[in-house]
Amino acid sequence: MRVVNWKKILLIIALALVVVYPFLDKNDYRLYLANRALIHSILASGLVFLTGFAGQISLGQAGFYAIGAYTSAYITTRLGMPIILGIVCGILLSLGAGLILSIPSFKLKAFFLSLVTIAFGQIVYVLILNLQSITGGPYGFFGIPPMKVGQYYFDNKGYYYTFLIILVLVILIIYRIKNSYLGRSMFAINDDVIAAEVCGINSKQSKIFAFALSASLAGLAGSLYAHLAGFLSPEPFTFFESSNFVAMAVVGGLRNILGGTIGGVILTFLPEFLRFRGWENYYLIVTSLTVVLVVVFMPNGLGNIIFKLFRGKTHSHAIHKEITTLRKEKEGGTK
Amino acid sequence: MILQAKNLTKVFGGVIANKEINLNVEEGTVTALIGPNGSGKTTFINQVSGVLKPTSGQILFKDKDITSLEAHDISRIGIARTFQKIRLFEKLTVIENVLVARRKFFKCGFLDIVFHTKRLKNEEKEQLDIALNLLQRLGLADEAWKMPGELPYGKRRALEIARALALEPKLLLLDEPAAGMTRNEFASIIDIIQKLKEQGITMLLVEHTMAFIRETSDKVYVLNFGEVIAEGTFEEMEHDPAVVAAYLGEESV
Repeated sequence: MRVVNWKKILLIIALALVVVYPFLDKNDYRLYLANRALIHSILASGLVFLTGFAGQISLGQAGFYAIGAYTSAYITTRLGMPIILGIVCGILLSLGAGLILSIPSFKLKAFFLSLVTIAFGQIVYVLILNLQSITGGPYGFFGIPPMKVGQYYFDNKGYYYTFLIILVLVILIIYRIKNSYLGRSMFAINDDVIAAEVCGINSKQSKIFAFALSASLAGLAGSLYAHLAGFLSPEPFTFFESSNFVAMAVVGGLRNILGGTIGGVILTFLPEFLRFRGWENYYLIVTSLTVVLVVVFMPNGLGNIIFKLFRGKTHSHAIHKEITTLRKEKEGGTK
Repeated sequence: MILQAKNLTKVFGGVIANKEINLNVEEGTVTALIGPNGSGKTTFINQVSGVLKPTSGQILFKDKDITSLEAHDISRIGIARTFQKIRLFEKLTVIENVLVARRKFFKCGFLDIVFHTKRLKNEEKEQLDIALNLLQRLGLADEAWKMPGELPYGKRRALEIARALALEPKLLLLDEPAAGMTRNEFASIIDIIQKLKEQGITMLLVEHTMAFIRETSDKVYVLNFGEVIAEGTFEEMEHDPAVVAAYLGEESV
């Protein structure tokens, strides 16, 4: 009996499309947008981890994004160091900032914590404007070198594959953390902090870890952006962008491993798509309305809907796939 | 003495919840803490488990001062507890609830997780076996893959005890383990506690049900308005005028 598994076929086609996309679309601007979408996906995946898995909130991710971008730009342009070093430093500096920002989360929750993170984002923004000798201030930061391998300077295709590989690695790492005892501890803290503490879970450590990871990913995204764009100005690092990042995570699905990617892609393309359809004046309104509708009618995000369509009814409640697999092994063994 | 409280005092605003409590728990015994509602029993348990910080006084566990330790440290060195109002991780499965408390036994680090090493897989398997075993001991083997919300009340209580036992504690604090139980559930909880006692786990429990205390406890402390008003065996307490007065009022003495 041969049953055509159309879901599997559909999945393979979708993956194949993602892989060959740069060769299908000759429009260079759309490819550039795809690269932006990948960068946003990396950042939003970090936010999904922070908010969906660890139960914390940040409305200041653009701050880490900026730290990553300007650090890598400065190190490669002014100090003439290799790009890979710039990116590593961008990640490390954002990580450091993330560690500091995790401290208020020990005492503050939800609303108050979000205020602190907004303040952090604003501080970084004001520093960009005023530290002109380092950042170029409102005049911008010019001449950031593009990535290259040997003599080949990356075009949008090169960036696409580089960013795609990085995004896949990021998702894989988050997936593994989620399925380990670390993820389990985070879900437990999210459910009931006191019960988790009494089970030997250090909730502070867990929060520090979540902030550090999401900040590092935002820093990574920022440093990639710097080299993709070749030019930095303060605009992409405003509070508006921070809230946009949160919208990506929420639209994609906060408890979904692919939530950041789905939200990142949709909210990068949707506004631009509308803009070119003669909606120049309304595209922001429509985008915001989409976000509101998703939040109201699909609080688990679009990611969950896609997952449900593919999986049908889920058989196991277990959040951790590892456990489900082990269960199957066990029950298979006794039969 | 496995646990010693010395002049333990907890003040909430103007209310003295615990007033200079001196209490000792001997290793291998079951000690009960009784008293009318609001007499400070749960406050005492909260301080020993690190959920609340004492205003003054000292808590010694195996002769070491643990007064300033945080809850997660205290649970790691061997004190586990359950709650008066059951607190399970409702979004995790039954088995995962137990596995959360096995966290301290994992030796794998962050890199093991990122690279998904064989060492980590083996450890997960090992811990899963231990957790399953524990569920079996408490009669929850068939519920391992369900959500806690699907369990009847008595089994939820048993799961909370299983989760506490997953820490492999030396001292187990039980806050009203028999509260709200049916007669059958009541009997099974007494059974569980007696089995744990045979295994050498020291217990300190808060309870209202006298039948429960008569069945299980070696020593009883009576609290009233945050102070220890009597201590001794259950039989001694039953006839102590101060205890009777605290429960029934002065008139009836």
